[in-house]
Amino acid sequence: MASRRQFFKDALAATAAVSLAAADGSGSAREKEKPALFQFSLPRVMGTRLEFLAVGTPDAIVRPVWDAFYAELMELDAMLNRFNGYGEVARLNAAPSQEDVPVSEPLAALLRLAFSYRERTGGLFDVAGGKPVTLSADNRLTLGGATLDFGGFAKGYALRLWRDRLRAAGIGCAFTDFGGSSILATGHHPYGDCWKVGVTNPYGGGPVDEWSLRDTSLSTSGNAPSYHGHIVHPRTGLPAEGRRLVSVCAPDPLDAEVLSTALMLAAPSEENALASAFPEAVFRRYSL
Amino acid sequence: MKEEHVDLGLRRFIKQLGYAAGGAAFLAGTAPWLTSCTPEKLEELGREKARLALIGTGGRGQYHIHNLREIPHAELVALCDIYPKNLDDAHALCPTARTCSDYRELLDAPDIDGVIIATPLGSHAQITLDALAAGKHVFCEKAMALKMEECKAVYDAYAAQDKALYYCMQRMYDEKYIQAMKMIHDGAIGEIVGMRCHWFRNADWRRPVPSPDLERLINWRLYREHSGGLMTELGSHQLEVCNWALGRTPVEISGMGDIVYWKDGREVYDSVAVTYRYAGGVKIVYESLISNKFNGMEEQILGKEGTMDLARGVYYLEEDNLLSGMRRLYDQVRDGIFASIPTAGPSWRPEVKGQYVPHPVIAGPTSINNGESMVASDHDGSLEILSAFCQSCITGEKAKDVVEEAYSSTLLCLLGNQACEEGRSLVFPEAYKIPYMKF
Ligand SMILES: NC(=O)c1ccc[n+]([C@@H]2O[C@H](COP(=O)([O-])OP(=O)(O)OC[C@H]3O[C@@H](n4cnc5c(N)ncnc54)[C@H](O)[C@@H]3O)[C@@H](O)[C@H]2O)c1
Repeated sequence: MASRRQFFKDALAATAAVSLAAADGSGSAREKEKPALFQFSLPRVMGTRLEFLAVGTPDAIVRPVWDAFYAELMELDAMLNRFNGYGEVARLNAAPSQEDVPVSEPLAALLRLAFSYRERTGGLFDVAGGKPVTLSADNRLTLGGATLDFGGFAKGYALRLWRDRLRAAGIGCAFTDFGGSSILATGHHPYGDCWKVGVTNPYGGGPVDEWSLRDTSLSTSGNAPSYHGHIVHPRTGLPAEGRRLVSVCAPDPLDAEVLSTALMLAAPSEENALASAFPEAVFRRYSL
Repeated sequence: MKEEHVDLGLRRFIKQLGYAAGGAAFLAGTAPWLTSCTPEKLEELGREKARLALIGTGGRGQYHIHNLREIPHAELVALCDIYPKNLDDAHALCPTARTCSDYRELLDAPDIDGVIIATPLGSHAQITLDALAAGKHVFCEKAMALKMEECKAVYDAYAAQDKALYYCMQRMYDEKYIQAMKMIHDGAIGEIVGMRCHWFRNADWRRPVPSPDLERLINWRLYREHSGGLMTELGSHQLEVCNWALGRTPVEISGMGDIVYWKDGREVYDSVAVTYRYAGGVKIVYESLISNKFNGMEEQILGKEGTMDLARGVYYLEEDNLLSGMRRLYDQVRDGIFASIPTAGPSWRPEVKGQYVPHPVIAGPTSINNGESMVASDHDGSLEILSAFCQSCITGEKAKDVVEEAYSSTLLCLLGNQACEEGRSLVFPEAYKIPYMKF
């Protein structure tokens, strides 16, 4: 428990260090012309970094929303992180029991949600890596030797929570970038009718595409020179090969997140089924 | 869900790498010397062969004999050396060739199209000038010459006639260097802000000598009448790639040279640290030492966005686009600008110093020169440049810019030595500037 408290303390210190909140409400003439800017950045969370920019909402309104989300995000990361040694998933994975074991209500809820995506993607997206993992009605989990991996889920889920918080607080103009692979575009750029986002080529060279996003999200999956073969097919156990990317745009960040992984693995014959399961999503493939 | 088709794919990527449709422009831009040895031109040669003589049949000369065997359009007809043992060894490798001890005998021979010079540096200029004057194509080992005035004389002679002249700067024909340069010129590592090159070995450079009167012939590298030491033997290759990357020649040179460890009567430094400054302030920090090999051989081109490690054929990125993407967005909004944010891609992962991830310049296995051999390293472009020379012997086509590159880098080596000697910083002398050079 001590180590976990220490973890939160460290994480908070990190936030404080990189907080770049620009709007202080001091109301000088110059600031009245320009919209208020609130920027926050977490250098290390869920294996990557999270950056957020709100435009035109006073600091006093954005900050408490951010703070509440931050606490929620830290809980989530601690629970789902496979490598921290103390979280629920890390502990389950460390001793993958053949027997059924009780899991917490929050994790059970996430597992049910993840399993529903397993259904909707025809098994292409699976936090249990294709193993017959089951969860009983009274939250008992049977791993049967499998391990859980919420990569490709957690960031999308976090962004969904974040989207709901922004909405509830009436923050209508913001851009959230979760490691480049998960982007939430709230409203539009203050000087344009959307947020324009370039898809970068991890193998070098300029952007390969541009998306115009407005009240929607974008998720990108694929191989990169430093990070290749990490998307593994649950049925075959084989990694997605090739210099490829898939970007998925969907109103729900979790849909986009799950689909970008599923599409990296989908055979051409499986695309139609995915398309009818997610009618609101749009995707583009890139061969690099 | 629907798929939107995007016209990208392999073709574009291949084009990025400089093959296919964009190939011609790429060659003309990044490696113009390759235009004289394209696969199409090679095919036009048919069954013709370049008839060659090798002058200097020591370590490097014998290595060239091995390479010539791999080149179908080459025929070695004569061997020349003033040291009988090396001549005999070479003859054993190529018994059909005739032999002699005075290269001038070869120059009038009508059955010789070109000569390969692999003698000590001190004799490069004279043999090259004589061979060009005799109407032979010439392939000479680097460096160009031992003295600046010799370099200029060879350059002028070359420019005034129509025979091909090559210097064995094999990096210019090494695929991984070419690809890397293409990437640098395309901006993959951003603006070049500095360069670091070094060559470290732990070996004395000395060879056993059967009798004392042969000391200077065999250990020519150690004596100033024959050799420029570390700068010309090793630095010449590395300074060339710096100029190739930046497309310019430095304006100012300073350095220090010493004999730190091998105090065995040699005259050339065993330790040098030389700095070259280009106009605008970009510097090459050059270092070479032959009593410690920990750092090996490296050529690093440092860019604002990344680092190209030429010798290993990999590059490293400073920071991902991500943070700069968000910073850009912040600045844009603050300044009232609406533009694209280059940030979407596979998830960003932390890259901190010491954990930079190497990205290969070319796919598949690459051979890497660890810098230890005094003779050669495999697949380093030496075979390709020799093959290109043989092709020129048949077609008569000069290789663009090879002499100019060799001239520039050799001058830098010699100026580096001079700066060490005089203990002051030098500016690139006006009298030795050639039209090719940009400063
Ligand atoms: N491009 C490269 O990577 C590379 C690698 C090694 C050597 N080299 C260069 O190759 C050249 C030879 O180096 P090496 O290591 O083979 O030296 P070496 O001493 O092994 O061979 C030189 C040979 O030239 C002969 N020679 C000397 N003067 C001569 C003359 N007037 N006529 C005919 N023969 C003569 C010597 O007897 C000797 O056999 C040098 O310029 C060196 O810098 C280049």
